[in-house]
Amino acid sequence: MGKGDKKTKRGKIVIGSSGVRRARKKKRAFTAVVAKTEPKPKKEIEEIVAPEVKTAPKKTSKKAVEHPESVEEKPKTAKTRKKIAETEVPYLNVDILFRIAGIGILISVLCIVLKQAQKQEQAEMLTLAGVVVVLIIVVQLMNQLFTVVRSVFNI
Amino acid sequence: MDITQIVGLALMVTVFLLILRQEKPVMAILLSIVFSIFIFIIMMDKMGAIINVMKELTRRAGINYFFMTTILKILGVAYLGEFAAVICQDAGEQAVAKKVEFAAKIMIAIMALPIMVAILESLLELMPG
Repeated sequence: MGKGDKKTKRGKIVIGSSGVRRARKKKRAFTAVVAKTEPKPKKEIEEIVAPEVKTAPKKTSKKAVEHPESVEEKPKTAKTRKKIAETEVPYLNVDILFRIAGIGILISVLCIVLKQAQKQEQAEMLTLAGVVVVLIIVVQLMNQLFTVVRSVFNI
Repeated sequence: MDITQIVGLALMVTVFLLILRQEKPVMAILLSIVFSIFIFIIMMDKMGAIINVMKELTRRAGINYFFMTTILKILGVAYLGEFAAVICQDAGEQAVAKKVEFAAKIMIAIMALPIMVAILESLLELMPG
């Protein structure tokens, strides 16, 4: 018992490690902050992990190594999602135009193939499906257009 | 977005439309709708800047703000009506295009009525007796 015992809280404080009972606080604090200062926390975690490997038994060190990875992955995915959302909302992508043109050409080619194979019905169904898919995209775009026009002209 | 990009995009879309119109006319019309929406939304961003300047000018000139908003609304209705009418005409549906234009004209007339009334009232104030 005391400072020398690495299983107790006091001992972990002295060694600078953490276990089941003495959960680390710093990491949770920087999960929220990570978005801007991502490179720094990595170093801190490495510094925290490094002494543990020396002093603590293998089980705790494994846990400690696994833990920071799981903590770090979350903010990264959140960041990428944010970026995608930011780029998609204000500006339209030119990709939509080419995507629709591509769908049209692909469907016409497939229709020719199906007609050659004496499958008129399936060709008709294919064109219908293609039109519906493109129509969904078009309706979403129309919605966007009307909201933009409404906001600009105060209708 | 630069004008060069828009011109390039328009030429590309024209080529695609030529290909699609022979095989799948429906797809061609959908593509033209998407293209016009695309250009419309890009131009609306620029339009916002122009409208802000106009609002600033009306504020400085001390003109009634109500007129400004009605003019903006009329502009919006006219743009939207023309947008739909041109696409309908492109698809070969002249009757639908004419009806859309007709509806847009009547909506504009209704919106312009308060301005007409205001002009008449100011005229009556000017007239003696």
